[in-house]
Amino acid sequence: MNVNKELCMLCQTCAAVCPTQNIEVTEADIIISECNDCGICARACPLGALYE
Amino acid sequence: MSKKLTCDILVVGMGPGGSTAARYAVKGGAKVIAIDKRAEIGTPIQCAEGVSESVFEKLEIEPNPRWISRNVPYVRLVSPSGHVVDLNDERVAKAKFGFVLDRKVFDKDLATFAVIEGVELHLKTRFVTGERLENGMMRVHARQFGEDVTIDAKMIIAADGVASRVGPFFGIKTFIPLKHIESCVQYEMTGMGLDDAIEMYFGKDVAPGGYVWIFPKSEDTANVGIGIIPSLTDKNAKYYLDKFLETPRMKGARFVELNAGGVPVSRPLKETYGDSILLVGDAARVVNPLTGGGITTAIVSGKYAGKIAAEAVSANNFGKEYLMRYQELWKDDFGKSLELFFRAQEVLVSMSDKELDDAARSMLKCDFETLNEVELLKAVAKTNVKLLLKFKKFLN
Ligand SMILES: Cc1cc2nc3c(=O)[nH]c(=O)nc-3n(C[C@H](O)[C@H](O)[C@H](O)COP(=O)(O)OP(=O)(O)OC[C@H]3O[C@@H](n4cnc5c(N)ncnc54)[C@H](O)[C@@H]3O)c2cc1C
Ligand code: SF4
Ligand code: SF4
Repeated sequence: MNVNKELCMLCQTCAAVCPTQNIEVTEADIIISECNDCGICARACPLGALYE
Repeated sequence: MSKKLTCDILVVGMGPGGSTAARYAVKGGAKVIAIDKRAEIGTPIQCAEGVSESVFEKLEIEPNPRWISRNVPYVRLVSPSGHVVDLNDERVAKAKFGFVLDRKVFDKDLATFAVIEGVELHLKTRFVTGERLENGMMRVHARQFGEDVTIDAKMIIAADGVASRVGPFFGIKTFIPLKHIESCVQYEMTGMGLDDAIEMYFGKDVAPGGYVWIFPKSEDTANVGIGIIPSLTDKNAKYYLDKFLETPRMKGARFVELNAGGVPVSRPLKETYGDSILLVGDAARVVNPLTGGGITTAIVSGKYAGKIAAEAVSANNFGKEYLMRYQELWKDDFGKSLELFFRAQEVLVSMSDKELDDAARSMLKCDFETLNEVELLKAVAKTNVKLLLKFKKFLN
């Protein structure tokens, strides 16, 4: 999963729905690790900032 | 060598839940450290800021007028084909919705109260990982201003919000299924004209699984936002909100601020406690699933968590069985209503636009005593078989 950082507002909705807790949203960044491309987070993003 | 801190109770996250927990824990005599990844508590807001008056009683603090942006006496519901139900004093004997808060001020004040009571607050300090030590202590690895810091605590209160990372590191799964999250965006806007009402707009094409809200913040600015259930649509929340801005209601509206966020609309976690850990607020999913309101429940759960954690320190007992009392306390307080609202939300999500229109029409024929959700649900349930069946256990 990739993130368009120009759209992302670090709102953490994606991190809340990732079944394997692969997304960490810090005060200034979003970090996606070990993703298995299930696509769930992309659907939850209110801004459409996530893409495969 | 990295910095090391020790305490009785570590609170992670200083939203309304964490600040209240920390305040009660320190009042109970414990040594409390609190951390938050933000540099300033309360900013940016991710909230429509609506609360009913009861929140101030729960806080056990004299309410400060600075916390209130605007007093909003009534609620306006708008159905898919435009039936307007004004729940004002013509229809409701004791109409009183509540307030739209200024959470930038409110949240920061709650944190300040905790610090005044003696909580040691570390800002720009982010929980990264955690582990249980052999001696039973909880160890947290955090990042503070670009440096590692280790915090050892006898117990942890996880108040790190909707995307809680603390729970999973200590064996409590917190992730939220797609059908149980409201994906939200919100614009603070001005120029569209406001009544003394909280406005809520429903419909499959308006906000699938949720609603559009207009919460007035001042004479001419309001939080205009939307929550949708992502499993019901391929489009995102911003798409629907931008579509709403095209409607006649929003003529003349201009942007002042943007924010986004997620709200859990599930049942609470089965276990909001574990050995040496309690979860509060959004992290525990104690949120009203019908409205998405979680400020009051975060505060109330935080209060019980702080009290029980301080008692655990005095009794030197951090076992799960001892901490279970925390869950009993919040359940006694609001558990039953959360369950009712959960069932109501399930029905609301399943209702067609026509059923929503019918419900609105029948509400127009009712008179209500108060603006209490339970009373409103009862009235609507009488006209809708699906609702009646769901609520049999609760309504009599
Ligand atoms: C768009 C929107 C509108 C809403 N409208 C309303 C409303 O009108 N009325 C209402 O009652 N509720 C509303 N809610 C819900 C309400 O905002 C939450 O339920 C409430 O804020 C929960 O409080 P909390 O203390 O549990 O968590 P939060 O307020 O989310 O606080 C969590 C804190 O933890 C910190 N944190 C997170 N991760 C870490 C980490 N790793 N390390 C350190 N700190 C961390 C965060 O910085 C934050 O300060 C809304 C939510 C959204 C998204
Ligand atoms: S849900 Fe979207 S906007 Fe929010 S943090 Fe994730 S990618 Fe960014
Ligand atoms: S695609 Fe699936 S596994 Fe990957 S980050 Fe998103 S939700 Fe997590």
